[in-house]
Amino acid sequence: MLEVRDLSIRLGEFSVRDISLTVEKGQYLCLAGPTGAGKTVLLECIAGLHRPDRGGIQLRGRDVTALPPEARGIGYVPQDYALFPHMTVFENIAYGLRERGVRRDAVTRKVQEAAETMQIAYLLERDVLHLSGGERQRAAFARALVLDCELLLLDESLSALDVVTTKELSIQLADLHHQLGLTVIHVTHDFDEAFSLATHIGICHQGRLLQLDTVEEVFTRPACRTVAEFVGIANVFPRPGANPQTCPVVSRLYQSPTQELSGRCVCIRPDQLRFSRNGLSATGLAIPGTVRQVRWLGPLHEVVLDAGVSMIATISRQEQETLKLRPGDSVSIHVPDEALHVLDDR
Amino acid sequence: MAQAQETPPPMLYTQADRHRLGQRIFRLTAAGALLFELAFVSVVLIALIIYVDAASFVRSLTSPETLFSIKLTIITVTISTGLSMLLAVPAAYALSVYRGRLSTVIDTLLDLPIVVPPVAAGLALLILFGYYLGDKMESAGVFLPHTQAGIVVAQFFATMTYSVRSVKAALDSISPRLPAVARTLGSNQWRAFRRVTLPLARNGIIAGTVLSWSRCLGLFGPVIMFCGATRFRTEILPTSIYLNTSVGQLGEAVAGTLILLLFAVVTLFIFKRLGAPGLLFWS
Repeated sequence: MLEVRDLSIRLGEFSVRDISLTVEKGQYLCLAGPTGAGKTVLLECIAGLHRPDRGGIQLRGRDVTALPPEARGIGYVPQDYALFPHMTVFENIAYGLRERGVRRDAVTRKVQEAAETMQIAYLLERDVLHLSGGERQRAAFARALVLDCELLLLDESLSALDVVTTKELSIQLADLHHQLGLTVIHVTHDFDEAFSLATHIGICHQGRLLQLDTVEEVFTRPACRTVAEFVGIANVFPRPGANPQTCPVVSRLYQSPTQELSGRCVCIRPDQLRFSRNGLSATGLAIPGTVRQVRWLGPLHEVVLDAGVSMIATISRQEQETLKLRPGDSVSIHVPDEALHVLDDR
Repeated sequence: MAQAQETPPPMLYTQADRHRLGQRIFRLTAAGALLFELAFVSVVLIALIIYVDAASFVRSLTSPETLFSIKLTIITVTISTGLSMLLAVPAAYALSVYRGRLSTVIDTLLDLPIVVPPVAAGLALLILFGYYLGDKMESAGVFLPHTQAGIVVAQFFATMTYSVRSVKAALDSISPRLPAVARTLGSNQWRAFRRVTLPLARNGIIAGTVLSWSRCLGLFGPVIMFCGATRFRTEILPTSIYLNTSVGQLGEAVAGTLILLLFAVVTLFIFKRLGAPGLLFWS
């Protein structure tokens, strides 16, 4: 569907370097990464708003690198929705249809259908300046979707809304993705949002694409330290020797008999750590440690441990009810072999 | 023996009193300055109005000379404002959107007509279109100094910066994402400008037109330097006031001034009405 090859562009302070990616039809790709990572610039290049300095973009097998945005047929919803303030909701949604020369009766019908899909049919005659954040967002989606674009680009489109509206729209967006068979590239800096929507995730950092894979793969096997930290794996330890202050516990991780830990870093997913008070471990390593804090995160508890180095574990509420961990408790921290993952230190 | 504790003398002014007094002085200062300026403008205008009686005002107003200058003023001001706005919109767009290393230099150059003394601007035009280009243009059938076409050129030169500045301010306030999204929806650059950018810059364009019109209406220095003050030839209303005052015909001069004032008020009123939502071309 979409292929980006070695794309590089510099726009003021923002730059994108040698990014290559492929998006298949029906995929929902979330480009995630911290602010300033170059995600928006990449998205705008795909939309045709900037011409890359190097590299190319192919859409449905056709090279569109030099084509203007109006010739690409890609739907685009920017962060601020960019609804035209001098038009009503109807006129906003109808804009693209009218530019394509669609007949008046067909415009009315299609706008009505798109508005009903986005549940804003009652707002059609309303001035866009008088809409709430959620209503604006729905209107912007309707404006993009009414054109039946196969590829939809969303730039932080859920980030400016309150939690309830974000959740509601995120569910609707996932439904639309399935129902309409849309291919979506969604830029976000919110990893939870990316997880809840995406089939694939690309992690951008300082203008580069560090990893692009399925959600599961990125979460379980991050390619490098930056990706691991971005996806919330707090337990990333450098190889002993690289850092003279590494504690003996980390050295023990590297002595695990079942893993070839030849990389420069090892990470342990917080949800895969297990505890016991008697020090017995069925498989893998058992490290003595002390509970420093137990923090309630809704359905989960986050346990901050001191095992010579600071480690973080997440356990379910049921587990906590059984273990009854309190600050100061001595525990054995069990690290299953499958929880260890070696990655590049970059 | 313990001394009886002295009770402090009653305070003449409490802190709240001082606070209220401070507020009152602040308000009085602001309102006083405003009232003074209002009074000054009113007194000056009243002095002008009561100087002429109704009969001589009507007589002066209907004199062939005054009618000529009114007609010439309206024609030249309309043409120069139209030209100025016609160029201001694309020029302001370029200034707002295309930023480069020379942007500051271009910006400063464009502001020059505002700071150059009006007489100097007129002299510069005279030197350019008289001394340097005069012969060449005359042989091509166009001669600007001391002509009515020259009046338009002088008015255009003096007013173009105001037009560009007003439109640019409006364009700067428009998010660049709006025309960008219009492009992704199928508009080419011209259509996106016509359907999105231009309507959103409407208020700036109206303000630019008002400013240009008003400035052209009362322009004197560049016009008299470039086009002179010849009766029934290059006599616009400001020139007419000058000519009548210089020969002691104060009644006619005041009549001309009042007409200018009336024009200015009517212009402001009309454009403010047009500026209301739904009353101008692109709404």
